[in-house]
Amino acid sequence: MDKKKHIEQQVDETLSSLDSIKKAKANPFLFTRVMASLRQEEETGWGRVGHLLTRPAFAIAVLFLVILMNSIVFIQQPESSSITDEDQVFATEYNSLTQPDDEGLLSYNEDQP
Amino acid sequence: MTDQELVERLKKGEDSAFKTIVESYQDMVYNTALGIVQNSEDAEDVAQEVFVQVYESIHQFKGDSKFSTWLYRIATSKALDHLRRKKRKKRFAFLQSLFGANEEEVIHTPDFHHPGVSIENKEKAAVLFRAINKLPDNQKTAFTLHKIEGLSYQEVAEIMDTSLSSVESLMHRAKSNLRKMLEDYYQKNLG
Repeated sequence: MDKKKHIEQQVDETLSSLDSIKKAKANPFLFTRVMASLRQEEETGWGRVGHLLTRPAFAIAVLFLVILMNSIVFIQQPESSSITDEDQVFATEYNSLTQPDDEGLLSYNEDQP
Repeated sequence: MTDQELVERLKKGEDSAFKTIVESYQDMVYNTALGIVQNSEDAEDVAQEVFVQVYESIHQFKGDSKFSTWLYRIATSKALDHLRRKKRKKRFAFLQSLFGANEEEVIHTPDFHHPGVSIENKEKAAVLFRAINKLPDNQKTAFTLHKIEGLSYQEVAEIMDTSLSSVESLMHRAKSNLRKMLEDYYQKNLG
């Protein structure tokens, strides 16, 4: 019973150990450190790039650009994908020109010892 | 000069206004960070990060809340981020030591002695800080702002962007958790 009481007393004292705490003081050269850190960020250039990339205006602009490019591709797609007669003629001619040579090459390779 | 005037001058790019802001609020920011990270060097790093962010994002401060409230928000979130990064590093170092990649022993953090604690309370405060460190983030933030920064529950509620009743509940849970942890500690150490 005494032990339990003693523990309770220790817990209460510990919980109130911060009641009269004083505030800690910062390093008086903090401003110099902050300015050095800001200058270093600017010198490397990455700080500016990072700052630009994290701006909401930049993200919105990129989003609009992506949507715009997709729209252009979507609008133009039906015209460019339709096969014209000229394309068909070219494909047929190309096929007829290349096929005999391919066969010849294959048969040449097979004839090799 | 009021905070509002200083903020307006900083928005116009006046470095002298920034210097005044840093000098006026450095102790407040450092003390808050120190209460959370419980290490003087880490608290200095956090304070530096806080003022760098203030300089870079002053245009995002619209004046909806007090400038000090905005600063407290940045300070607590940076301090908690710092703790998370440190814990991740510790976990990684522990894993490395398990697989033999890092032969060095994983260093355990020593007891933290806050410079503002009186000598007669030093040992007990160190035990309490160790227990505070084990609290969930929101309880730790509320308890630190109230006990170490000496802020009222209403001010803590504004900083944490929550209601007064939520802060009361957080504080109640924090105290009850701390009591349990301390009882366990003294049960083992007073035997």
